[in-house]
Amino acid sequence: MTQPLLEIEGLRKDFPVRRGLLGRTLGTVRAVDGVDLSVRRGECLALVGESGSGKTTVARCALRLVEPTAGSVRFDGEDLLALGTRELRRRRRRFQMVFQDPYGSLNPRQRIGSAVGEPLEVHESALSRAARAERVRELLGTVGLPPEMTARWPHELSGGQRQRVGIARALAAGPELLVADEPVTALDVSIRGQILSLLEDLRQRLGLALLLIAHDMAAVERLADRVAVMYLGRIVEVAPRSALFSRPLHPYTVSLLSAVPRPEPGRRRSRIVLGGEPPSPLAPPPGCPFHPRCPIARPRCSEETPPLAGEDHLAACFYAGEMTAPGGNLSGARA
Amino acid sequence: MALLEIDGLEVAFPAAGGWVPAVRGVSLSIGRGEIVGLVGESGSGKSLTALSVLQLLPPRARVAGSIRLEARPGEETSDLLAAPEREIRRVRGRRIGIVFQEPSTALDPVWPVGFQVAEAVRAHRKLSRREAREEVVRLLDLVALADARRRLDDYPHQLSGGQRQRVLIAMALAAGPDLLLADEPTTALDVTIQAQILELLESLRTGLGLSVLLITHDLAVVAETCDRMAVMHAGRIVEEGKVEDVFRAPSHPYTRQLLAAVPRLGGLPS
Repeated sequence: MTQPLLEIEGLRKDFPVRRGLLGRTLGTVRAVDGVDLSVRRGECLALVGESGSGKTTVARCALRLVEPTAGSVRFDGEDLLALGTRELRRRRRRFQMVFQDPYGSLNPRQRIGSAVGEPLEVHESALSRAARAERVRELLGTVGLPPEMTARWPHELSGGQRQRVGIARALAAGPELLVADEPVTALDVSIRGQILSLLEDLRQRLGLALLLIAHDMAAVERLADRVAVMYLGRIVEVAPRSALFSRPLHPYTVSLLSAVPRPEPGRRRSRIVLGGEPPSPLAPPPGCPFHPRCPIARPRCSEETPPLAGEDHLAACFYAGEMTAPGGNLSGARA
Repeated sequence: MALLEIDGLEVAFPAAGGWVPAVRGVSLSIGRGEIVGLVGESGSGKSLTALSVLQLLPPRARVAGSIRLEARPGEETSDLLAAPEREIRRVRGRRIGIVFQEPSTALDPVWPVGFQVAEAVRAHRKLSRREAREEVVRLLDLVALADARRRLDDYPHQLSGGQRQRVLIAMALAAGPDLLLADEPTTALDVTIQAQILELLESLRTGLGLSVLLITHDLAVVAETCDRMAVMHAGRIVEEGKVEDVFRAPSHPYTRQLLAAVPRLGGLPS
């Protein structure tokens, strides 16, 4: 197998918990606890999980927007954590981020043309003004916006248009990997499909690899080649898309898929409702992090932490595959 | 009559050159113990419809039509739209509770949650501090907030989104209303927590005979939770019926479009 484009190993991130004026450190929150992940060239890997599961922190560590506490991050074989600031900046053109909030991520006083052109000034400073303007129009075309947009202000644009601008900015440097953190969550349902199509299309046309952070399982099913599920800072399951949706092995994945509401009246009785809430990462439970809510937990689960095991379809559960959703197949019921 | 009957509701706002209609002749009824879904996209008028019921619209809005709430024994049924402030205040909370979307902003960050629920309790009933505290525990147990007694002195930031939403539902239930208006109550929550809150609403319906008007943009939530549904588009109800019927055979083109746009798992061949 060829070398992955992005390879994360044993990633850990602790955040200090401070209190009071002097900022005394009270303890640490382990937001990410030993994550291994890889993204191949041209592949879309979706990282899913609920609020606080650590998926955004993994993405930020992968781009070195925050410094990991331990572990390694390799991009195209090169250790990103060993790079100095200047080298890192040069490398950054190869991996870019699309943010969740298209309202907050654009400067309200910067015209669209200038916003999209800015990364070019940084990464391709040799470009003449005219050539840059031409590239900006091209980039806007790539994301499905007309060239007249260059003169517009962010407030004149809809949420969907702004997110297209955000994507154009990320593409400006000509990256090989795009990290998209909840790219459609802030958008209206009818617009989400369009932005997902755009990402799908860009991936095919430009051969981009995509690390998609999401909690919307329907979006994930549409875009991802492989899916990794996070719970409380750990990866609990990784599998090719169809395997994950048709035969989830980890009880958390089974419950998560079952909790997604379906537009099918009469299904309501077959929903699995998990008790409780994800535990606080400040005081993670011993053993398997999911055991306090797990419907099939046994004594062993509160004593030992199950490793992520398997060949192509990995799950971190001693009893992987034992729990199935009532009503059988979670996906493709109508297929 | 049904518990609540909205008839020919019109809401308009002043704009340059005249009035902009936002709700245009909405009629809808909610029976006792019924969960009715009001669905539509942003700006369709679904929230305004709910706010009209409790006279919570901005004062510049122009409202017409009638909204009748079935009276309790010994009381008189009157039109809520025409009710004077003094009368509508007796309806708010006591007959009709309301829960909003954003559980993180609907609570006051500087007061413990137990105090805030107690405030809702004492606004409607004369209880001593101690009695009120016990009532708060009962309400928080009712909405299945884990460890209710221990959470009374917690501040909102110490609770998760799902727990805050439970506290808000407890506040809405403080005066024992017959009807709960729930405006996108699960939109800000994760799916496993959303499933819990929807389950809670159903159990309140079964346990207390509560009626619920569930306002949402999510047709899948309606499919799983509601008995009847009404679809709003541009200020009008374009379709109404039993949930099963609407999903099986939507009659209005807009409903069909909306149903087609619902993201569903298993939409791709695997």
